Amino acid sequence: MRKYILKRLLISAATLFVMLVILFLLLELMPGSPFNDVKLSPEQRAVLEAKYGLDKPVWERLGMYIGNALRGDFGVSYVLAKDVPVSSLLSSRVGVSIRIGLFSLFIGTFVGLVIGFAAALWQGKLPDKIGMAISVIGLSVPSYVFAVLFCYFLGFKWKWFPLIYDLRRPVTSAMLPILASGVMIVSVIARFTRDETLRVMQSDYVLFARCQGISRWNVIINYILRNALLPIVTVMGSLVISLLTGTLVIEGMFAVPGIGSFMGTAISGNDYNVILALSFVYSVIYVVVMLGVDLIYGILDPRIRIAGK
Amino acid sequence: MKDEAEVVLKLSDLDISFRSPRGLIHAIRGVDITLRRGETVALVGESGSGKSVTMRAVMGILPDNAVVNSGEIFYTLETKDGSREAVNLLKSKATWREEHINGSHIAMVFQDPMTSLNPTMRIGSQLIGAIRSHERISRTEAYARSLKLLTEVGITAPEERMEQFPHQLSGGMRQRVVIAIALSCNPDILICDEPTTALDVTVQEKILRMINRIQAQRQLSVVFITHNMGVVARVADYVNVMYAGKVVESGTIVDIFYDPRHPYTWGLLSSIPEVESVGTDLYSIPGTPPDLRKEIRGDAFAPRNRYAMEIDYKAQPPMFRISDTHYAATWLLDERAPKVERPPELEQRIRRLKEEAKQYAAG
Repeated sequence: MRKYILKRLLISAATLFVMLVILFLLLELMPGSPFNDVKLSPEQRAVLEAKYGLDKPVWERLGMYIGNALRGDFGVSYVLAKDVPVSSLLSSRVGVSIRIGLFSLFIGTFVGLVIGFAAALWQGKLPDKIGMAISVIGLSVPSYVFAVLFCYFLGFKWKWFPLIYDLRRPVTSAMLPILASGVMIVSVIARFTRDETLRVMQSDYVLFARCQGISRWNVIINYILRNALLPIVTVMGSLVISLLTGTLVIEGMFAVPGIGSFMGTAISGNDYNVILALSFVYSVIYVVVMLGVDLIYGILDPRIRIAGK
Repeated sequence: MKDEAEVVLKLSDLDISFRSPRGLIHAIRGVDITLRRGETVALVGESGSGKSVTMRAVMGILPDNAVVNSGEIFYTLETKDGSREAVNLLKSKATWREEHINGSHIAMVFQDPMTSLNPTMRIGSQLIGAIRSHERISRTEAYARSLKLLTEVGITAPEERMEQFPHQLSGGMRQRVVIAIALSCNPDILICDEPTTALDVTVQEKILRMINRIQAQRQLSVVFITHNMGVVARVADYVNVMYAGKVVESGTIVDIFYDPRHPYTWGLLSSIPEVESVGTDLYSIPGTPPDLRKEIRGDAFAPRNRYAMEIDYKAQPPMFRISDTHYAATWLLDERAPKVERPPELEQRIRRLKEEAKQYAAG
């Protein structure tokens, strides 16, 4: 197991390094420069670029960037907040986004699992019908539609939660964004859990356990749930990606001071260091989630645990 | 023959359909099967003839879309004070059946040992869990019993196996573990659903021998589902030949192999490959089994039967009595039917079989 974890960690580190290089080179391909102001003369622009080292050849800058990044220095912002270090610019925002993301992921997954299991255990009965209706609606209606509905009812009409993110009330303010992005998670997980559980319920080992008269709860927990959970862990990995892209829209709608809304501003302003650092943060989140999925999988599935020994 | 032995399981007039998007599938059309104590009854037939479904009905593990139209499954339950009582399993509640019958009185072994064990649980936990679901004994006692069971089914180094996961064992080994679990609560009936089909031939033979040995030691009554007539000859006392959801011929192993009466049984026996017949084409029954979505009129086997008569397309033949143990459902046995001889190749084959049996008995 230790070797398995070590191998995963190394692969993750290598992935992140490659990501950083690719992101850096991609930014090179972006047209324009951070100093696009029409009032600047070409000479003034050249002076500014020289000041930040942007006139140096790309490989030299890449080397410098990586060297600094390893020391935790991600450069300064050129446009959005002149000369403020990117790390201090992002630190407060990353926390907000991750908190909202994790909450909607965990609450959504939990609710989805409950709905999915209930639907499978009572297949064709009322829990199944209600659960699958929720899932179909959640999957086919875009999440911003739910965002608008939640805004209208929960924010405007009943005034349960603030409509616009309020820094003084971080918990209640986070509720609407969590709900809006959680609907998709609930739907995907519920649907998947139901199908997976039904498949496991018809498997030979569950039928064999029933032939042995093993008690219902034992069968449900040790035979059905455990085996049905495995593939669901994998789906969670890809759900995180949808969640990440979702934050770009959702954070904008609710004026959440997170990284999703910041990303758009940074890109339109050509603020190289901010874009690069933000994209890298997204990569880190994704790689960490995938690492988590692999490790959880290793714990749940002995076939992987032992192969990695 | 143990004709006098007590009946432990009796299925009568079992009739089961499956709901499907394209209508009802009439899978089991009135099946009668009797199992006596200590005996092995074989259910033989092609895939889809209803062998497995019939036995799954006994275990109460039919899929949700199955509808039991009629029939009774009586199990003779021996209570602690020694009195015997016939229980209709189809009328008893699923929870009661799982608690009091499944595992502790009737157990079943499936065809594919690769999928019969829980992949995320250690062999030991699966065994101990099975034992402790019926008996209130401590973990240590259950552990000791598990080791004994594994040794009984011929597994070496049982302590080591207890700690392993199913994927670490070979197919033959897994089937032994499955049988050990099935035997863990001392059932008196063991249903084997093609337990050797998924294994290679040498392992097959070992498993069959082991089942035979354990059956004798434990006085088990066994139902053996198979499509392999060779396996039938090895294990069975009594044979039920199934076709399209009905038993078409039943009799002792001697009745079925030396004096088959139903043209379908003739076909089955003719299609056993033999060493003597190298170079000649292996016989196969022409055509395919009927579509059970449609109502079957007359004898279901008629379209594939070269001896079919007009009546075969009109009325279902009853079970004609040939002897006290031997019955067959074919109009050929009606006294008005023309006398039909078995195909000469089959007669030759039966003669060879008798020859072999004589040598076997002598040697």
